Amino acid sequence: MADEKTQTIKKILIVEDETYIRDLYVQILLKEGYLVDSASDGEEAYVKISKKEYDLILLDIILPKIDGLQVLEKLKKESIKISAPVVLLTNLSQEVVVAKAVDYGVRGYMVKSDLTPQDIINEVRGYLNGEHVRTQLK
Amino acid sequence: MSLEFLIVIIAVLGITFLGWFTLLKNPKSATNKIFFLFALTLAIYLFINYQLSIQNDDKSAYYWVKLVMSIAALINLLFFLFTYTFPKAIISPKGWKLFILITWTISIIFLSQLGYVFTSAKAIQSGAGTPGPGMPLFLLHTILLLGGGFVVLIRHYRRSTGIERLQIKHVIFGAVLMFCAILVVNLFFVVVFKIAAFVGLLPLYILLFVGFVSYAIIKHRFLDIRLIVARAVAYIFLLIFIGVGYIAFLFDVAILINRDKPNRETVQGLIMPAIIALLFAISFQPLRRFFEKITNKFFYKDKYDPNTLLWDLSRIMAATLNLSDLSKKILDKLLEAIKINYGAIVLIRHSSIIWVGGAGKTSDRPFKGKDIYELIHSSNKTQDQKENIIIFEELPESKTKNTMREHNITIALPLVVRKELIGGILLGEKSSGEIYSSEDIDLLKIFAPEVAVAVKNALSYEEIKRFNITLEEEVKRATEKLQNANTKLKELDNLKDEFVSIASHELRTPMTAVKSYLWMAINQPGQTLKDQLKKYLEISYASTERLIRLVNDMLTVSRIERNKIELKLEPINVCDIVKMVYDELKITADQKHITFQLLGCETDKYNVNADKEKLREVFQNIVGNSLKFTPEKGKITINVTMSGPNKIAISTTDTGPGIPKEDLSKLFQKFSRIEYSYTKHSGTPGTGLGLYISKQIVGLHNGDITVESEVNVGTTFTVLLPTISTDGK
Repeated sequence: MADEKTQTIKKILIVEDETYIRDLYVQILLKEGYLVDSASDGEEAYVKISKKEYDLILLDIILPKIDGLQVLEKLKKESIKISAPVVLLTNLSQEVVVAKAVDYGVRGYMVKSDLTPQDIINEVRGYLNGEHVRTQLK
Repeated sequence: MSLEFLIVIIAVLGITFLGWFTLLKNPKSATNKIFFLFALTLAIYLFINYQLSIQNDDKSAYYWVKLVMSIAALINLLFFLFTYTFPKAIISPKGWKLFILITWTISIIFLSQLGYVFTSAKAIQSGAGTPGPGMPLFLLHTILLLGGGFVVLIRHYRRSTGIERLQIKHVIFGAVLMFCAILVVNLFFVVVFKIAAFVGLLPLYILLFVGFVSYAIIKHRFLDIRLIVARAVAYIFLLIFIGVGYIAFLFDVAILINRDKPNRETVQGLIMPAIIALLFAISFQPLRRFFEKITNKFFYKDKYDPNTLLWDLSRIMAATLNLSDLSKKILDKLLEAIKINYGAIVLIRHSSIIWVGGAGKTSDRPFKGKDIYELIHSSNKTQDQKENIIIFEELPESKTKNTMREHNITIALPLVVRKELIGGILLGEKSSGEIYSSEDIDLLKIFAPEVAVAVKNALSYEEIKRFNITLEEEVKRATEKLQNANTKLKELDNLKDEFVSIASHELRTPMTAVKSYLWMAINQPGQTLKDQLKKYLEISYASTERLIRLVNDMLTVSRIERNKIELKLEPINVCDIVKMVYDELKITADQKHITFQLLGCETDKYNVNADKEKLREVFQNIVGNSLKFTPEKGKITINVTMSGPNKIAISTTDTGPGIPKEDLSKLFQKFSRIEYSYTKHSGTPGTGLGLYISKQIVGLHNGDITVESEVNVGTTFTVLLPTISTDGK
């Protein structure tokens, strides 16, 4: 944690509708020293992604109002450049949506139930530092 | 004019004509050419022979005798050449053989002309002269060439087949007939019965022979010669009949008038009138035809040739399959030729009219009523097929006649195929108002059965066509049904897919919360839990993990069973995957103090075409199982080797409790529980799906998983995978 202070503080957006899970992820990432923003539905996510700049976006797929992939689709249609790499953090099976996700330039795919909080921290650090991580999509 | 001269003239003309006719038929063939020369020489021979017979002084007789002998030599040569060549198109013999034959014949001719064959001759006995020193030579020439010719013919006949054999047979037959006639008449009759009256007929026998040979040559090219021969024979009989009858009549008249015994002069005096009578007889037929033609032109302007009409109709029927076209075309042709107002073809089936095709001025009559049906039926009443025709004028007053009057039908003909009445032809009046002639009726009677067959064929054709259309529609409908079913199934499948995905998502979401918070509770930094509490939390955490694995495995199984698994195949060294799994599980093995070995991957490469992630799961599962069941301080060995020329075997051997034989088969089934091993040795129970999934995944790689086990000794799981060559092929 000490060495991260020497760098500029990274901004992470967490898009998650389930309050308990969102709170947990926000909590552990804040503890790691990141600036954490969150959105609880697709529209909020769309607004935040299109207006603010982040270093990493953790995006759920099944969301109220519009789903995660639709958010990406909308941004792509409106030619809005996303400031940060997007990693899908979801409980939906990868096989169903992975092809579409790759089309939208998604960097990684994390299945929440398969990962412990420590795993999440490790993966996030990896993505931010540009290291090769387990959940990365080729 | 004498009878002998007449015969000679007939024979000479006949022979010359046949020779010339034969040459015309195929002027390029050597057979035809030689035959022409042969026939010509024979004709000359007959003529000279006749000249010889009418000579009065010895000197001129001798001149003709010499000429006869010369021509005879030529005949010998040509006969031989003919037999040798016949029926080929190229002359044989050739070269020096032909040269010798010709030289020999010429020398015989010279000998005859120089007076060595006959030294003198007397005019009284025609041809009988004094043989000279050249006579034996002449006889040798004759015997060798004529006899040789026969031998050649017979030999040739034996070797030949087919039409050639038949041709040679005709030649031989003609020759034998000629010689027999000559022998019987000129020798037998003269010597035995002392009758010389028929000697003068000799030229006719030769004509007969020439006729046979000519027929033999031409037959295979022009079969109608049979017709010509038949006509010729008919004419000859006619000639003989009229000639003999007329002569006999004249003869009787002459006897009556002269009251005299008939003598040679009487007979000779009758020849001219006889010839004239014959000329009348012969010219009768052509003249009749000629005048008929002229008168017909005057009286029957609309006369048609029935043969041509029938031929035209047959051609239409043979070339037309479509029922409407067929009916229209034949009716049009018929109406045009016989000049009929209108015609209709009516088809019936099962006591009703099924089809009507009309032509001409039908005045829009439909011809569909019951009366028409009955009319057609009554036209087919008589048993005699040929007499099945109803003619209005010949019909007594009856219901049928009324029907015909009503519809202005003059003729009704039934159409019958194999005794089955399929319809009828109805014809109106002739446009001239005349009645149908017997010629018309005859033509219609011949024509009707042909139409019946043609119509029946057209009907069958239509039926087949209709059947094809129905079949096509059926297939189309069935295909549509199948397509609909398929779409529905696909929708269902997609729904199921969606359901499974959403259901697993919904299951995972609360489990993620439970798992994560349990993890947080256990890993709370700076806070020590009571041992008891920590144990409870860890059990809860492990159970959550198991539940999550179960959901994952069920998702996988669901995908496998719906063939939704897509392998991302890439060429890969199987050792890379095995090593990864080995490194991952080494920690657990060390914790249990298990001797954990990986063999066979030190130097060799084992390339497979595989989905890296999926295979990794397989090995994780298999090696993980071994770790689970092997007791502390046991041993697990992973061995990678070749098994056969193109199979890699990755075997994992442990020193676990082993699996009883009866349980081995259950291992790869879904939710298989082997009570023995699990209850006793497994600390953390699996989902019961791992081996099933592994087996399916390896199966998708065209490989297999086998298992060998001995209770209390250990178990070996072997994964077999097909190799590829190192260049990635």
